[in-house]
Amino acid sequence: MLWNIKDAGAFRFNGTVRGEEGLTFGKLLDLVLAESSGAWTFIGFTHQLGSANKKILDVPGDTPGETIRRLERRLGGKAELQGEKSYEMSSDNAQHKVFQVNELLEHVLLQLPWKDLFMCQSVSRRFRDVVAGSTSLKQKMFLLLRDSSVSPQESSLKICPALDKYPYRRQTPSSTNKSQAQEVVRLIRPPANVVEESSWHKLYLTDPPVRKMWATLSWTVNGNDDTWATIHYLGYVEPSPDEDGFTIGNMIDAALFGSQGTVNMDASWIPRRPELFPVPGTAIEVISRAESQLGVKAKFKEGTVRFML
Amino acid sequence: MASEGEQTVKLVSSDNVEIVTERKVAERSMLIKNMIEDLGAPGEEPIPIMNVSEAVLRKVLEWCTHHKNDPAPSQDDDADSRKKTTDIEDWDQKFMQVDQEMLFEIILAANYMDIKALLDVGCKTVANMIKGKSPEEIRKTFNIQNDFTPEEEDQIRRENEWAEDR
Repeated sequence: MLWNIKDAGAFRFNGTVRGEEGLTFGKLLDLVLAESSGAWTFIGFTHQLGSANKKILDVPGDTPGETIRRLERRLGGKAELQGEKSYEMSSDNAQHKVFQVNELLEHVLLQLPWKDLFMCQSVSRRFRDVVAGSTSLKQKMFLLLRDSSVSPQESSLKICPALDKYPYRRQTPSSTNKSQAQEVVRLIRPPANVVEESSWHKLYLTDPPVRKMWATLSWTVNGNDDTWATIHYLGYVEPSPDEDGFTIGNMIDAALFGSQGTVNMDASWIPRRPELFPVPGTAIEVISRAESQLGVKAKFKEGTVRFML
Repeated sequence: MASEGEQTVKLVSSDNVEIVTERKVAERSMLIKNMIEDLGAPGEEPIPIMNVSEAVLRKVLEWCTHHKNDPAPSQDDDADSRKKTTDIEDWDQKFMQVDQEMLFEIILAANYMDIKALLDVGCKTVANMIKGKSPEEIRKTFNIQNDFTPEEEDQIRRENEWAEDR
């Protein structure tokens, strides 16, 4: 561990300390500072003579804590622990061992509900890396498809938990257009703190992928002074043949840039009409125009997807 | 000749303690089952369980005794057990009310001794300790050090913050 006194000097501790079960970094630090057995090496130097001429200081005290206090007095400053925390925990602790074995940590994480799997990646590098390296975890999270070549059937279709059940009564298909195919309807609402980088965009909609779906997606642009615009895309979206299937992000992009669907806009400056009329251009073009008019970015508001099986 | 159900086997823990147990109980462990089959003549030769101490081995055998008559899991059960994330039967839940170190010792032993059902129960118990917690709370529960650089932490948080919205 390395402590630095700004522009003045530094102290490095090299040694071994014995901790008890459940050692935290704070406890480890206390142990290091109070280590009095002398089983540590002191390396101190000062920058006062210029970095090329680091002078080794001769101020070791009985413990690293004492040495640092002496250094602080000598150099006039407050010692701060540097980011370099090159210590190794060689632990006999069973929990440590379990979390160190990829298969065991993976097995633990596989028991977690879907949403918790995203959260737990922020715990530590180990947790992050085990998730990143695990096919079964990523499949459970809908970040990876089990088998994209299987054709989807209602009974075996797994739908990403990020999609909500359609809360309204299903509209009966019009009598003229009675399709034989089954369909599954789901709502998409972005969670509150979704940002551009969110892994939410990388979630596959279904597993196995459904290649034909009808989507109704809406974006809102909320300007100042009660000006607003809502843009809707209505139409079929389908993943390109080289795609494994749609992720939420890919589907939104397909609607934004697609030219097969209808784009409607409703805005504060357009007189209320009994029905929405299509506007020319792709959704992204219409949205960009509204954005530049209102000076704010559009947000994806919600959508409905009908998966045609 | 005793019938298979009454046969006993001798196990030796890592700290050299001999434990005699019913063969049927011990054979919940695939490791022991395979060893008995390889060794032949069960009951004569003591079986070393190298990585498991007496205290843990006794605890594991307690579980095996309770579950000695469980049907062998089929392949289909495997996929099913993953779906039901948190349900653990009452007896197992009580059995797992041990200190954290013992819980993880049991997981290590179940893994080493190849007792899949016990490994599942152990991992589910740990998963229940993680469930619904923030990353910081998870770190506290298991004394895990946050070893991300601020940049890395910021990135992974931004990517997954949406999942906090419950």
